[in-house]
Amino acid sequence: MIGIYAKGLNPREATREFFAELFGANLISSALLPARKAGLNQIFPALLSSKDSLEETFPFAPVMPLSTAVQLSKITRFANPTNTVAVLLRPCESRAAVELVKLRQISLDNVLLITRDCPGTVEPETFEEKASDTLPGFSDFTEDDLRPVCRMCSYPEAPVADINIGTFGAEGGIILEAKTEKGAEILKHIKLEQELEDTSARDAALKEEKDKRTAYAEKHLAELQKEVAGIDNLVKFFAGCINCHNCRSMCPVCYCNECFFDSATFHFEGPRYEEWAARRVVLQMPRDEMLFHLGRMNHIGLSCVACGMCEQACPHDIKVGQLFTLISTTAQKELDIHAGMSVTDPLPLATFREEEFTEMGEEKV
Amino acid sequence: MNENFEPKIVGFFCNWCTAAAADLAGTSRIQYPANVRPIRVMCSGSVDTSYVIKALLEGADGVLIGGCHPGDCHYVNGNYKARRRVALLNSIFNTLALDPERVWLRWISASEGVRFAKVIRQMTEELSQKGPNPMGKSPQT
Repeated sequence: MIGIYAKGLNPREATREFFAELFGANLISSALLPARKAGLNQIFPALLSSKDSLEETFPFAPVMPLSTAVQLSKITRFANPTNTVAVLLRPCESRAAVELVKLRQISLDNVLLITRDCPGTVEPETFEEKASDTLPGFSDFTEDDLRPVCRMCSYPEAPVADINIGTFGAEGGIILEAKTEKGAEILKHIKLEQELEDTSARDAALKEEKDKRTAYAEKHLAELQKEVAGIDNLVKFFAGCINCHNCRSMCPVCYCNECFFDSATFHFEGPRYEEWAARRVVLQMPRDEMLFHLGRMNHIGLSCVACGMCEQACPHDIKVGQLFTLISTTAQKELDIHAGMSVTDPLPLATFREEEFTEMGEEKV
Repeated sequence: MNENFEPKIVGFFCNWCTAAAADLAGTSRIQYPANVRPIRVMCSGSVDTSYVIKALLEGADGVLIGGCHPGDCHYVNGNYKARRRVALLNSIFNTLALDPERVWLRWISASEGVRFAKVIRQMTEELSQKGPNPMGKSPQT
């Protein structure tokens, strides 16, 4: 089912209206939405218990301080089976949520997964600069303000959702589309302005956006690949890294309670460091920062949804999110394992297919 | 290439096959170069690629992961998981131009002492051609 909703309203107002209807018809018990922190110019996810506070929500604010998928894992733990929590996610957050479902960190049983089209986000600082009493919207920013990972993102629409809120191809209001039975059941209770029989305008708008981003990504990633080629360039790329692991902390798919790279696995007795220093003449400290990045690429490369939260968290502005986009999109294409596409997909590193990579392990021809 | 260069190979050998093959090669007095530093692990599937990367960053010129032939894993399917992990490592190293050819995955069963010696000979030769691993040379790594 797909149809136009609240044609007379802008997408923000229409979405608020939609959630008010969900609350009003008792279809949901609470809703996790991006909302303004009281009296501040910051947008963070907030769990709303009624429609009364929808005024403070900004469903389309072009800023993303963190991935809401991680917050979803908190509120679905031992969820009350009689309640339904609606959550509004961007495509990258939805894909991260799918990965967390695969990792058994989120249960979607009591969740109404609502996604919305995403034209991209800016850094929180850029957002704040433009904010006053009124908060800036997407149109207040230029293409160059957008985070590079957003400009490269090939998912303007989320692949997994119960209901998607479409803005691409919408002329006033929003386009509501049920993508699962659960979503269709809910939409039955919602007053759609008109059913959308011809989706060609939306399809064309989505295609145009995807093509634009793909073209940017191809060019940008090729340049980046040149920039990091070989260990010396990679060292240069990560030169400012202080090994703070912020990138890991903000990564939605890095879910381990204790990270391998925080463990004592590679802690050694003091004299060993001196031995190594003697062998190399100079031993750069701290150790293992390159190991951390390369290791993390191997741990989560097949689960990475290229949301760029790592890059936003980096205190030294290392383009780590763009690099992870490069290695993860390449690896996911080569291995034909795609992150965030289906909750029934097997976990990438705990499973295998007998018929894959059969040439490996044998003699080279 | 430096004539005196002797590559260092760090080997992660499965207890049930490659480690036994290494023993067999030894007891059968098969000659092979002494360039490999063997580490016995319980399964090739237990080798996190972080250890492979650590070895390369600390100056190993190559890493050899030895596991059971497909279908023969002592733990049913650990070698298949190792294979996927090495495939991912290959892809990442390729993208970053970090020479994935320095990481070898080979199936060597407990009875293949001859094959074990042959793989070590082959790998030592190829790594000698390549020269020292640049990843382990940088003071920054």
